[in-house]
Amino acid sequence: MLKEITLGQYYPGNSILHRLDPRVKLVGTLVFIISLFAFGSTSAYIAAGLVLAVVITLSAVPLKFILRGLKMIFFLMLITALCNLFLTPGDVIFKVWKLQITAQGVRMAIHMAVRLTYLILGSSIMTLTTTPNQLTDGMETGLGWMRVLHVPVHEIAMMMSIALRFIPILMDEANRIMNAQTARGADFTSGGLIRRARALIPLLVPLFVSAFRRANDLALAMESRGYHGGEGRTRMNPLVYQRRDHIAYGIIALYLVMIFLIWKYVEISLPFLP
Amino acid sequence: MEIKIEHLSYTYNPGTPFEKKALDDISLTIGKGEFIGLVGHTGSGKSTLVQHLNGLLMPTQGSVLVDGEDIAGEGYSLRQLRFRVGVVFQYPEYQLFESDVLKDVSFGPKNQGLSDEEVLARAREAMRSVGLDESYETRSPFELSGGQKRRAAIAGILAMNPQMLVLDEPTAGMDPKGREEVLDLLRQINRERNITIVLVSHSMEDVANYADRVIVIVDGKIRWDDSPSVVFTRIEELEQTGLRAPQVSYLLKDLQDKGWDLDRSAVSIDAAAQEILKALSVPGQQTGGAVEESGKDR
Ligand SMILES: Nc1ncnc2c1ncn2[C@@H]1O[C@H](COP(=O)(O)OP(=O)(O)OP(=O)(O)O)[C@@H](O)[C@H]1O
Ligand SMILES: [Mg+2]
Repeated sequence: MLKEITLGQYYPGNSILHRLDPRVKLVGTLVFIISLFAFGSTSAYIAAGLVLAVVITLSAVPLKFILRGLKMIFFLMLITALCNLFLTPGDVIFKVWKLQITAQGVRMAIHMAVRLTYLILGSSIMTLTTTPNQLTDGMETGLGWMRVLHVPVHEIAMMMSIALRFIPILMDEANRIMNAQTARGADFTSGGLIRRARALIPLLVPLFVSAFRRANDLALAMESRGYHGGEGRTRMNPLVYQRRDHIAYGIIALYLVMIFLIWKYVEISLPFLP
Repeated sequence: MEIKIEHLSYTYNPGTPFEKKALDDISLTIGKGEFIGLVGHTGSGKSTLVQHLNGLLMPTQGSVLVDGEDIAGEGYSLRQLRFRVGVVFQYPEYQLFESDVLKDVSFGPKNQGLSDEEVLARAREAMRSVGLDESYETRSPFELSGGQKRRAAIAGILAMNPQMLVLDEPTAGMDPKGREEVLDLLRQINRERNITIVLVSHSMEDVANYADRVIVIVDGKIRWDDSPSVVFTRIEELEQTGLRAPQVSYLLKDLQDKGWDLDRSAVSIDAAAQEILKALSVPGQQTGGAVEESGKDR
């Protein structure tokens, strides 16, 4: 049950995507997401989907892992789609009592679902091929210019990397505590809502206690090794762009242009869609 | 109760790149009233095996039979099994959660559905037997010392009156006196109440001194399953697996190598002392120097 959160989970590998500079992947993901919202048309979505498929293939991560992220937001997607379906005004094609479905609603619902799916898949691919450390490194280096605006870039990156690092640790811990309480006859799976919520107390109290203890230990350990924030800190492995990274930037730019052109000039209307 | 494990294998995260075979074709029988020491190097699979004994993990292959019944069978009550097989996990103090110790110890028996008086009586009895007196009842478990927390956690399992008690390194990180008290308590429970004990430990001394049977796991397989006196005389083989024998086994071996006529099967300090005294009393034994020398080796 706790094992199903893929977001922020790295899938070890050595594909071209794994080897790319994290900054490239961050920019790529950002561009991809922006393109989804800026250029929303059936034709653009088909093109973006093809590109996504190619990227997924290149990553060599089994589809099963990529799709896991989708399971988490399934309900969110369902609700969004239903809202769009029933609440969009326009040409009514179907009506029962006060509920009406419009052509525009169908279109919106499908577009929204596609957009959300792509969004999750795109960002999952990034997190699956980039270790949390690389990711925050990339963010810190890539967003370094924001320091001028007094944004504590380093501190934010550090907090993120610690948070990401702690997800699996806390999940392990939760599992262990759950086992220990189950061994004492605790029952996490039956009973009504209130009973189940109460049954979580034996899990949550030790989990919080241990999280605080760990945070405290970590802070002490960092300080005793001389950590004092980002000022004047040098890196052991500075990020350096390789040839492949420049090529990747080129491809990202090309993608953006291509999607824009397709959105602007190619009109696809699917037969079953209005 | 008797637990019979047949050809058990267990794989973590099967079908993923994190796949890990933790147990491989384990077969063993745990009879009533036994005191078993379970040893093995770090990552050998001890904790994984332990979790099969009360059905927290189900075998990937093979089966676990409790009194002849397969625990993976349909309709088998795992919850009842968990009351009969008490498992004290590694670092059990991390499971404490109630506002005072008495309430925490009561958690198990309460889950068993006993009456309030019964729960209270069991909890008090369990606390006494681990050496926590009345004054601890109202204290918060979070303000106890590490060793006291450990005892409170063990009491929490004892209060369920299990027929079998499985402890995963119960004395890790405790001081020598605390260790001895906990282990003596286990021995007492084992002898007086005939409760089966399975003790996972990294201390060969503890296992040698307390267990009647030693199971050695190496890389998820059972390497030896025999009495301590048999297992711990295989010093070289043990060392090859990353373990070692208790100190006294080395002492007896050194003495024997020096030409002493003695039986190396003693593994507890008392038995070894007896053996040495016996050897000393044999007339004509050239001793003084040998003892000193072997003392230097260690
Ligand atoms: N939840 C888990 N997921 C994946 N692998 C695991 C998990 N728990 C244990 N393992 C792996 O299974 C193997 C056996 O682990 P186990 O915890 O049973 O060892 P152990 O003998 O108890 O070690 P220790 O003496 O350090 O407690 C190890 O290689 C470990 O990495
Ligand atoms: Mg263990």
